[in-house]
Amino acid sequence: MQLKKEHKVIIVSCIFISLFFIFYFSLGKSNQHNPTVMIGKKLPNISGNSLENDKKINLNSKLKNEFFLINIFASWCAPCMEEHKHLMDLKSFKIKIVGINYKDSEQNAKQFLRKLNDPYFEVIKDYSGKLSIELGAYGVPETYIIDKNHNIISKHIGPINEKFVKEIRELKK
Amino acid sequence: MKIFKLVFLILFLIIGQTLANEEIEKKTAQITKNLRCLVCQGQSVYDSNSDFAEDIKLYVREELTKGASEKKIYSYMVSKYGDWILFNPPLSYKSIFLWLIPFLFILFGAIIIYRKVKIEK
Repeated sequence: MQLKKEHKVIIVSCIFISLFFIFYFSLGKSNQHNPTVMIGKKLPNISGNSLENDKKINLNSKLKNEFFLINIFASWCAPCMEEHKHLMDLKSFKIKIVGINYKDSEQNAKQFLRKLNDPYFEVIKDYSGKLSIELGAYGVPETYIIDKNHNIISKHIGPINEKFVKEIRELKK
Repeated sequence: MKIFKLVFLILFLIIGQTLANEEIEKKTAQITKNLRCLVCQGQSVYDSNSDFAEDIKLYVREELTKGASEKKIYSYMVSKYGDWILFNPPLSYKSIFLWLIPFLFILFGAIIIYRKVKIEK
């Protein structure tokens, strides 16, 4: 069966138009991959040393049956400063935030919190980056929402904003 | 004689340790070359110096030193970051299209060539 010339032109045109739209929409998308495999999973065992007194903390047993956030931050990270005011807002709404201090120095992290105020319920040191891998994180800042059953409900990559604060307040209700 | 034995033992231990370290470095390189750096543009963890890549390299090296298998390391990475972290993703219902596309193209090309040859005859 031979295809007519007009049919061939239509088929080829359709293929090119489809390819154009695929590339047009794909190029507009962010090429940063957001791994979502950890969402819906149980919070892995998060334990480490406290920034405050170097004592060993196990988050899973410390915050049993509580809704809380985990925020990965560092004093050298500019977007962390940008989101800091929103973390302070969340604190004022009585939302517990656990800070994971990523690849930082104790002195700089403490100075950072003294200067900008401390929004954290607890800060755990992660100077080897292992805790961040355990959470499936790949940068700073990243924020994880943990429900009362210690399931990871959602995560936010990059600095949090007002919209995020509103969402958290709604979730807390 | 005792001193000779002691020196021999120390040398044996040093050489053994160096060889073991070399083997771990070789395996770390092999694994990290198949892991995608998620914060880079098309680079592997092995090729990147980003914080993320350095963390993964350290993790892989430590796990190998502890005696973990390659399979265990890959499955841990997939459990944390998904199949996307692998440059060579496994065959699954999500990646089936990716694996089938080259064969579909070959089949399509073969059909075109076959038809052309048949018409010319």
